[in-house]
Parts: sequence; C-alpha cells; structure tokens
Amino acid sequence: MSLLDAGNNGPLVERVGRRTFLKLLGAAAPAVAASACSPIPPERIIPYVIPPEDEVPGVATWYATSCRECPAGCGMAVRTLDGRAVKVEGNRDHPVNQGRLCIRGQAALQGLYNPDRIRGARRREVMNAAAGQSRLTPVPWEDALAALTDRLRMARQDGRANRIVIVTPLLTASLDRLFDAWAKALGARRLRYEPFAYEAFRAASRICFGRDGVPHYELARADVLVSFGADFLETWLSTVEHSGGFAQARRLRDGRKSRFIHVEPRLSLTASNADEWLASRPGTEILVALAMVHVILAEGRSQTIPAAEVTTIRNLVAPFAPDAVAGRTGIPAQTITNLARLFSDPQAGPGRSLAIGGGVAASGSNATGTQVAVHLLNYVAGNVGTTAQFGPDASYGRASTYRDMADLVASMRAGEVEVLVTYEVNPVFTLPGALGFDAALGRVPFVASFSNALDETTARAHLVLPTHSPLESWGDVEPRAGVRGLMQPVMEPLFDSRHVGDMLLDVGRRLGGDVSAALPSGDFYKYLGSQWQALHSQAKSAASFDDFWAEALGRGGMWSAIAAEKVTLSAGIAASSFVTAELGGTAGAPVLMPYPSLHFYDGRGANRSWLQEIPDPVTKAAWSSWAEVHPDTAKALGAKDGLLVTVESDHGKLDVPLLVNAHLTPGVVAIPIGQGHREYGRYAAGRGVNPIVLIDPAPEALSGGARWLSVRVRVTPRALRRPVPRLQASEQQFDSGVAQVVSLADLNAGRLEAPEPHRSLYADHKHPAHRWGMAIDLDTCTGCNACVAACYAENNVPVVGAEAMYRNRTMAWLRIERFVEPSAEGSGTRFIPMLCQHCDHAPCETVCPVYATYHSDEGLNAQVYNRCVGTRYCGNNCPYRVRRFNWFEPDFPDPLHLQLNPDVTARSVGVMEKCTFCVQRIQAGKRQAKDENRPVKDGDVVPACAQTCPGQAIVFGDLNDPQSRVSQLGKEARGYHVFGELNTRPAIMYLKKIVSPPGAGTNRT
Amino acid sequence: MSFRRINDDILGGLETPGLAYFAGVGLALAVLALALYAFWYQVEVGLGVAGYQPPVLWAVYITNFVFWVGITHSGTLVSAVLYLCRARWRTGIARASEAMTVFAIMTAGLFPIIHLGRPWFFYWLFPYPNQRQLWVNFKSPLIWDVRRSSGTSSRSAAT
Amino acid sequence: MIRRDDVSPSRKLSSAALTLFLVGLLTFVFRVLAQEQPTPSKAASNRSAPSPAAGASSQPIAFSHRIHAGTNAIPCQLCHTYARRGPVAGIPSVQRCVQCHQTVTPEEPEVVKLMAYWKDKKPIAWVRVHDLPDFVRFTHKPHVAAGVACQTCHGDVAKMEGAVQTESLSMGWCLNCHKERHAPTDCLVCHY
Repeated sequence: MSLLDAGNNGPLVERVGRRTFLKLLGAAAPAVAASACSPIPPERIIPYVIPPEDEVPGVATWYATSCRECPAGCGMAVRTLDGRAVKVEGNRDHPVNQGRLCIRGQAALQGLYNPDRIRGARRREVMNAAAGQSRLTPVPWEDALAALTDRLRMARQDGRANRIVIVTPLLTASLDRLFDAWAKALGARRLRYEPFAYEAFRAASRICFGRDGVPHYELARADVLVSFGADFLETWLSTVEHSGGFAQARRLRDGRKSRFIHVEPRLSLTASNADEWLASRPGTEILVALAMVHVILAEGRSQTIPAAEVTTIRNLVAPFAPDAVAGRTGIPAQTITNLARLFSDPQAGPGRSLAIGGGVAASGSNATGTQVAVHLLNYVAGNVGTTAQFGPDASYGRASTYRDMADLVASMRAGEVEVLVTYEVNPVFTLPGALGFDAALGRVPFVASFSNALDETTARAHLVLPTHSPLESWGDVEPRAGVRGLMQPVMEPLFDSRHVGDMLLDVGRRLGGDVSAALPSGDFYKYLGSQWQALHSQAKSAASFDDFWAEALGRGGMWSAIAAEKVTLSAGIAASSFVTAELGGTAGAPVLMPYPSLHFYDGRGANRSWLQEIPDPVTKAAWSSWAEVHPDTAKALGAKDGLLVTVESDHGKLDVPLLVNAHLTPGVVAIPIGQGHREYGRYAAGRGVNPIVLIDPAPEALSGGARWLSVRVRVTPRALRRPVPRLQASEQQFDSGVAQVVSLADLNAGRLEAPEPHRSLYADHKHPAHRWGMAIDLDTCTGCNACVAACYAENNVPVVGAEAMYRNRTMAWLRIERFVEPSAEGSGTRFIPMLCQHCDHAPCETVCPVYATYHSDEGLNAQVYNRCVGTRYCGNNCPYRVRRFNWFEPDFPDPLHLQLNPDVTARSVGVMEKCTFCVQRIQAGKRQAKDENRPVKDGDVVPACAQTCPGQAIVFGDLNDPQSRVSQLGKEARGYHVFGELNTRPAIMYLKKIVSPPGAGTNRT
Repeated sequence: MSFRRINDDILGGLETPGLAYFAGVGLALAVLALALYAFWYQVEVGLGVAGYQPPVLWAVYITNFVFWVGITHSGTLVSAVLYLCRARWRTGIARASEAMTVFAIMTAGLFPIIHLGRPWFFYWLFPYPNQRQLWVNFKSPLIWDVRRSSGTSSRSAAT
Repeated sequence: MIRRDDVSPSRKLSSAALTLFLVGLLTFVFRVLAQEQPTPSKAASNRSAPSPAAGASSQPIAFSHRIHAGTNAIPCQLCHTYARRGPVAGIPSVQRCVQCHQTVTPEEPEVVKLMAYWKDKKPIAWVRVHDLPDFVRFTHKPHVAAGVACQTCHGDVAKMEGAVQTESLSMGWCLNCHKERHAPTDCLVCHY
C-alpha cells in the first residue's frame, strides 16, 4: 500500500493525505505572511521646550560669516535649517568674492562635520616610556587648561623670554591682536606660519619700491594678463576674487577679447585657461620677464616712468635681450618680443595690462629676482597704481617667513624652547622633511595644540585643546586693507570644543599677576565687541553701536575703499642681480615641481571626502598622488602610466605612481602637494605621498621663503603597478563635438554653423507655466570644480571612495570634462560641465518601465526615487551618461549626516539619480513668489552650481520669459547643444569657447 | 533491448534511488543554496557586488536573460516544426523540448527580478490596479519583456 | 492523457492555493529580506480604521483634544503655529502649554506631569500620529493657504481624546482631492 493512500487507518501523516496537506498549506500562507509583519515602532515627534524666536521649522535661516579655508578671507553666507548648517554660499555683498565660493569654501562644511574631529580635550599618557609608547587620552577641560597654565608658569619662572613659542597661521584683526597681546604678556615669541607666504613677493616689493607688502591686483581691468607661474585660479593669493576678475576681463566686448598668456613648465589649471601657454624651462621665467622689459625699453614702449628710471632699468636688463634668453628658457625670441609689444602699447595707454608671478615656477633660488622682474614689468608698462595697487595691500605682508620657521627649528633643536603652542598649523607635514622639524619637536618638553584635527603635528602634542571650527566661532578677518569681514557662529558647537580666544583669555587669567593685567577681561566675544567699538568710533557712524553691530553682522562685515598709493622705484634696485634657479642634484636629471593643489591647498583639505572624490581639474585623478612626466621622460625610463616609481632627491625619497602628461616641459616631474598624510583622519591617512619631503630645506637667500623648486630627482621604475583612479580615460574627444570652440575671427565675421534643424515624429511637450533652462558659457568656465562641490553639498550626493572610482561608480551629478585639442590656436584645453541636459526628447524617459522618470510640464526631466525599481534602462539610454546609480547604500559617517539637506531626498541603494536642476530650489522659488502674490522673476531660482561659479559661467532661468538672462544667452550665435544631432533637444545651451591664435593683437587697441 | 530491460528501466523509477542519485541531488542542492545565498547577499548589500562598471549598466544578468529567452524560443520552435511536419516520432522530443521551454522561461523570468536595483518592488512591473492611480509605462521595451515572459510562461503552463 | 475537466474541484482548489501561496511567499520573502516594513500610510491604505498604536494611552501625557479643541474651542493654529508659515504644522512647545497651564487646572495629574517637564526643561517626546514616508515632501503652508480645513486630513480632532489617524493619507487619497480641486498632480511637486 502506498504511503499516500493510507485512508483512515494509518499514522496521522498518512491519514492526512496529499490533497488535504496542500489545502492546509494554501490556508496557512496568508497567516504566516501576516504574522511575519511585526508592529512598527512608533516614530516620535519632539517639539521645542522654548522655541527660538523668528524661526520656523523647515524654513532656513541664513548667517553671514567668513570663510577660513585659506587666507583669502572670502565672505560666506551659511544656510541653516533647524539649527544645523547645511550649505555654504558666498556672501553677495562681500567685496572679495562677491557671492561666489571656490571648491575649498564649499567643502568647509566637511570641516565642521568632520568625522575625525577631536571631540574633547586630550592629554598624552605614557604607557611604556622605554618603548616610547604613549597615547592621547580624554581629560576634563578644567584639567587640560590647568595643565597648560602650569607649564606656561614654569616656563616663565626664571624670567627668560622666548622660552615659549606660539605658532599660528596668518591671522588678522581681533584674534591676531589677541594672540599678539597674549604672546607679549607671556614674553613669548610668536610666528604666523603659512606654507605659502609669498615671501619673495614681499622681498621684491621692498627691493623695488621700498615697502614690504603684497599688492592688490585688479585682473578685471587687464586687457593683457601675463602670468609667470601664478596659479590664480587655484591657490594664488585670492582665488575666488581673481577668478571673478579674470572672467570679467575675458568677456567679449565689441568683438574683442582680452588676452592671457601663462608661462610655466606645466599645463596647470590656470595655464589651461590661457590663450597661450608658454612652456618654459623650470626656473627660467625670470628671463622671459626681463627680456620683455628689455624689449619694452628698447622700443620706447615704457609708459609714465621718468627718463632717469628708464636708464636705470635699461642698464639692469641689458644682458637679457630675447635672443640671449631664448635658448635658456625654451621659448622662441620672437614670441617674447611679440609678447612684450602686446604688453605695453603706448597707443593703448598705461595700466591696461598686468603681469603676475608666483606659484612653484617662481619659487626657486631666484624667486625674489623673478618677482622683481615682474614688478619691473608692471612698472614700465604703467600698471602700478592701476591694475597692480599698493595701498589695499593683502594681509600676507604680515606673515612670518620660512626662514623664521627654520630659525625656530634650530632653536628647538638647541633645547631653547620649553613650551610650543600651535594653533591650526601642521609644520610636521608642510615643512621640508630635511629641515628636521619632526626630530626637533622631540626636544621640546611640552607641546600644546589648539587644533581640532588630529594632524601630524597635533598627534605629537602633549596636550590637545580642540577649538571650535570656524563655522562655530566669533571673529573677524581682514584679508586686505579696507576689508574687515565678520565671523559668527552659525550653530551651537557640535562637540566639546572651545573658542581659542576664550581659552587664551582663560589661561591668561589663571596665570594671574602681570599676565592677567595685560590682557582684556571677559571672553573673546566681549573683546571682539570692543574692537568693533573702536571701528564704530572711527567710522563716525550716526547709529548707536548696537545698530551698527547688528547691521555689520547682517552684512558680513565692513568695507571701505582704500586708494592706491603712489610708489616710486627704489634706488637699491640697481644692485639687483638676476639668475635662473639653482637646482640641487645631478645635472640633467628631471626637475621636481611640487605644486599646490586646488583641492587640498597645502594639505589642509585632505581629510574632506568631497575634496578627495572630486577629480583633480587637470589630471581628472582622485583619491591619490601621482608623478606627472612627459612622454619622452617616461620612454627614457621605460615606464608607462600607472607604474610605481621611486622618486628620490638628496633629501628624501618616496614611491608614487606615474602619470604620463604630454603637457609638461620635458625633464620635469610634477607631484601635487596635499596628500601623503600619516595622520589626519580616515580619508587622508596613508593615502598618497607628500613631495615636500623631497625639497631642499635651505631658504631662498633674499626673501627667506621656501624653495619649492630646488631639486633634481632620480626616478627609478619599480615592478609594481598602482593605477590611479581617473574620471576620464582620455583627454581626446575623438570628433564627438562635445566641447566646441569658435575662433574670434569667425565669430566676428558671423561664420558660425547653423543649428541643426528640428525633426520630430512626436508632438512637442507643452510648457504652459515655466520652462526651465540653462546656459553654460564655455568661454568663462575655468574648470575649477566649485560647482561640483556645491552640487554635492546641496543634493546629498554620496561619496563612494577610491575602490568604487576605479569602477567609474562616482556619484557626481555634475562633472567637469576636460578635453585637449592642441592646434594652431594654442594649447586647446576645453572644460565642459556635463550634467543632465533635461532633454525635451529624452531617450531615458521612454524606457523606464515604471514611469520613475518622465518629463514634467516645466521642462524638467524628473526622477522619482521612490518609484524607481532600478532596471537602469534609463542610464543605458542616456547619451550624455549623466545618470548615476546607487550600487550600495550611501554612507554618511557620523556627523557628516548632519550636513544632509532636508529639502532633498536622501537616496537608498538601488535607485537611479541625476541632476534635477535643483528642483527643491525651483519649488521654493515658486512657493515664495506665490506667497508674495507675484510671478516668479528672473533670479528667484538659482541652482547650487550656478550660484557658486566664480566666473558666472552657469546661468539658469525660465525660457518662457524672453527677458530672462538665459533666454538672451540662448539666442547667441555661439550657442549649441551637445550631441544636438541626436535630436534630444536639451534644455541646456552651451556657448562655444572663443579662441584666438597666438600673437593676435588684442582687442582694445 | 529485452522486455526485462525495459521493465527494469520503467519500474526502476518506483524504487528507492541509490547513493549516486542522492549524492547528485545533494550537490545540486548545495549549488542551489549557494546561489540563494548569493542572491540574498546581493539584495542585502546592493547590486554593486555584481561588479558593474559604468557606463555599462547591463551585463551578465541581462545577457543571461536573453540567452534563456532564446532557449525558450528554441523549445517552442522545435515543437512547432515537428507538429507542422506531423512527424510521428515527435512525442518524446516534443515533450523534452516543451519541458525545456517551460523551465527556461521560468529561469529567464527570474533575471528581470535578479537584475533589479530594488527587487522587492518587482511587482510594480505588472499593471495592476492600485490606489496610487499608477500604471506601468507601456512604451518601455522592458514592459514588453515582462509581458512576454509572464505571457509565455502562463501559456506554456497551460498546454 | 489526463484532461482539465478530469481533475476534481478540490484538486483545482489546491493548485490555486499553492500558486497563491508561492506568489505570496515570494513577495513576503523580498519584503522581509530587504527589511521593508509597511509604513503607517501603506498599512492604512487598505482600511479606514485608525492605527492602534496612536491611542491616547501611548502618549507621554494624556492630552485630550476634546477638552482643548472641543470644549474650549481653541483654534488649531494657536498651538500648531507653523501650519501657515512652513512645511510642518509643529507640535506646541512646552512653553506654549505652560503659558496657560501655570494657572489653568494645575492640579490635574496630567498637568502635573507637564509642569515636571517644564521644570526640568525637557522636551516631550510625543508619539507621532500622522506620518508620511520620507520620500513624500508634504508641506502644510500651501494647503492652509488654499483653505483646506485641518479636519479634512486630520479628522474631527475636536471630538477625539487622543489624536488618531482617521484618514488613510495614502497617495490615491491625496490625488483624489488634488484632482477635484485642480491642484497640481505632477509627481515632482511631492516627490523630489
């Protein structure tokens, strides 16, 4: 008898039978399913105890403050929601940046919310003295401050001065004054240490004009701009200000454009934006400048300077005719002559050109000489007082020099320093390794750090007193004479930190006696107030101080125009001697060019994930270091892209992957500064290399500045490959016509291709209310990546890390593509921001099976995250490849999740995302207009990318409004659609970059 | 081929199978378990574990889907051709090819679910009336795939 | 050969039950695997009964809307002040409650609980009754401005002891009203 037919006589299982079993199963299933759904834990809704006045939950409050990511001191406007800062933008009223911010400024939020911030006071505890084992352990603030007080008191006991040394960055205004007062009260030595302190500039100003200062430059007024290595779009002096000025100068006016020539061994970002890039041999830029002066004087082109000075200068530059220098610089004599004629044209008048010098190219042993030559060039062309102004000097004039730091190291090594107090400086990383700061630090008995990041220097401290981040602090910033920006806290401090000013005053009070008496009473806020009381009196304002203060806080500071001062050539100039840079190491070996990075500056930004993930603007590499060499050099080494090489100088050694770069003078090895941290946090530590370890520690003779360009290196290929993650595999367009140019001649003659005709089988979309569109001017886009960072901040774009970048899984909604097409018209670099084009005939919309993407009636290509099932058909269909898929659950390590913008959905794993034209801002703009009972006007809605662009390259608005800027720009002859031939009809009109051949006359003559 | 041999072959199916059979089943179950674990892991962690490298957003899963759909069609084709030709010896072969079709479409039908970023919402690909007043995008070729797969499988199951 | 009409009805029923079970199992397995829990709105979408978790007994203080909004006829926006000013209506702050209750019925046990919160300056962690999933960007201001009465979505609160959700708040429910009143039904208005 079969098991299945037991009928009623067998065991239970047999009696039940197959059919009954199946019936029971069918009935049990819903019961199982229902019981498996457990009750949802209730969500809590928590109101205030006492609500803040004038704040509505969900409605943002904006605070004006200042950016401290570099010494440029731009003004910032911070958007806070429910007590948390979520976005930073430029302060529209601030004279330095005029409402724009660079990539470092946008990433300031990641400094505030950095997961590796030190969250409380720490003290070094020795675990095993013999083995040298110790660690930083948490300690109450009371103990920490008491410990510092005790050590300071001990160091002052025998009355010897300068046993205490305080090293801060270049501070200005109130905090600087307080530090000075504190140092004076303690009898301590104080240094304002900046790795890029422009010492050569100041020395040159002293030599030429008898005044120690870094002048103020007005790039907007220069029809001809010649830069000798000065990377003003990256780190030089005041990036945002000069990017804006540059963009203004470059605008087409009456069919004419300004001209920009860049002289440097490497095609940096700044050089990429030049009409002509002259690839000089490293350290020979000085000769080019002198030859230009020579030509100007020889041909009688000097302007506004007295005859006696002409003679002096002529004698000085006599040996430097273009023919004499051409061979040594690698630049043809005729080019130099043409350039000189362009630079100073008596018919055009004085003050129409500008020469600037700086960067690594002008930082060899002849750095001062190079800057003197640049000053002379400006002087003979009559630029001093117009485009180059002494008067509103930059605050760099007050920084210490590198030589001061070298002296400090000698002091430390000699055991003369008993207490070293540091505040937000990292000399262990930024000083050349061969200088020996690291070892000398070991001879200082007590090191206290006021930093809130565990960088290499702070990791060696005995006491760590973490300060508030700049966004949590009161203060003021004076980047140049006449500009006094205010800082205010935009939210409550996140962690157990204190304001450094408060700590100084607290310690001073604890020390008692003469120290306490010499310092102001109260806290730093009170001190700041007192400083501004003085300003209030000086300003002779009719308003009361309270009104004056409130207005200044709302505006973001106080600014006044400082007139340019007249300067005369100093007699001492005649004693100048000009040489090319001396380079240590074997003759003929490649020259090392360590260059400051746009993203990391001097390394301070390395622990910000956005700055690591967003690719370097020129190499499009991320999350790593690399050594750029010319293809000839690579061939001579027998090395290819991605090969690990050992780069060794007389002072240090490191291993770094190779990157072959054709846009480099042969015989140069260029390595970016900023990576190679041993500490500093999860994103920075153990990543890349620090080329500063390779350079010569001896300062430049005349200025005391660091000699970044000082060594030749031995490059040895290794047997390992370590490819660098890159956004683009190639810099060629392969005739795809993505980034297009038009020559100035063609533009003026109207010889432009007609736009492709529109053919369509389908009826067009109707846009009854608004039709959002964008115009991107490729002539103004400098490729600086500020818009990319702004997009990350505004739209909660996750960071994926190096491993994922190898697989091209970057989540950036907006990327800057870089193409290089060398031609008769110069180096031919083209930058093009690529984002969702919001096509009218979008290939992605038809193929989504669930209607997660569709065309809204305002012209947006909408992406509804909660509907997306993740088939990725849309991503396959997009010809622009701008759709990004969430391959994993996005990770925002605490407290970076506090930065997330609540107005934008945070996406989960498995959904597609892309640029939305900042639809949250569009909705907000429309609602605002509706509340105010008026139509939406041009300028109400500004996406994050357009808002921050220093060159104002991105313009957004309503195409239905014929008066809007975007409509006007859309009608320009230069306009084209990328892949227009595919008939996608994008909502973004790109304006072709305008190129003009080398040697072209400019413009305004 | 004796009757005894035929007898043994047919009745053999009614007897308890030997070790070799169970070893084979064990192996197959082990592979199945591994595959289920792999799928669970992919659903838990995300599609990133499948090794996609943008700009390529469809890879082995979709290729496999097309392959299995091809097998399905081939089974139907064989069966249809044999029927049209009225081959008298077609029954065994047609049975095998149709069984192949049925299993192949079930396999193929799995892949649109496996390749989804959010597979727990796979049922959104079917047009069912819902309170959100949403339908699927009938213009999308992927919906045609879903229609074709579910249609083929239900049609095959009915025959 | 076995034909369809040869199969007994109970056999057909069992086959149907098995198919349904398999489909249900597949759906259930996915939702549990991905920790997909039905949100209150999804759970409520198929029924109009209020969700049991939000009864008065589960709140930290047994606040009675019937007494405040009903008997005393306090307008909704006196306490839920942000409704016409922003995206969220807001729960009244402890200060708002205390403004009246420092003198009104201070001896009531629930008011005593309130004053304890005020004394310790602790916020009250109310259990949320009306909650939409995070991917829905609902904003109160335009609805209040359009004259939609609070009761339309929140029910007749003046008659409730503890607030409970009476409407489904499902997408279809929202869509119906939007269609009636010619309010936008574009996906992007609420999902971005």
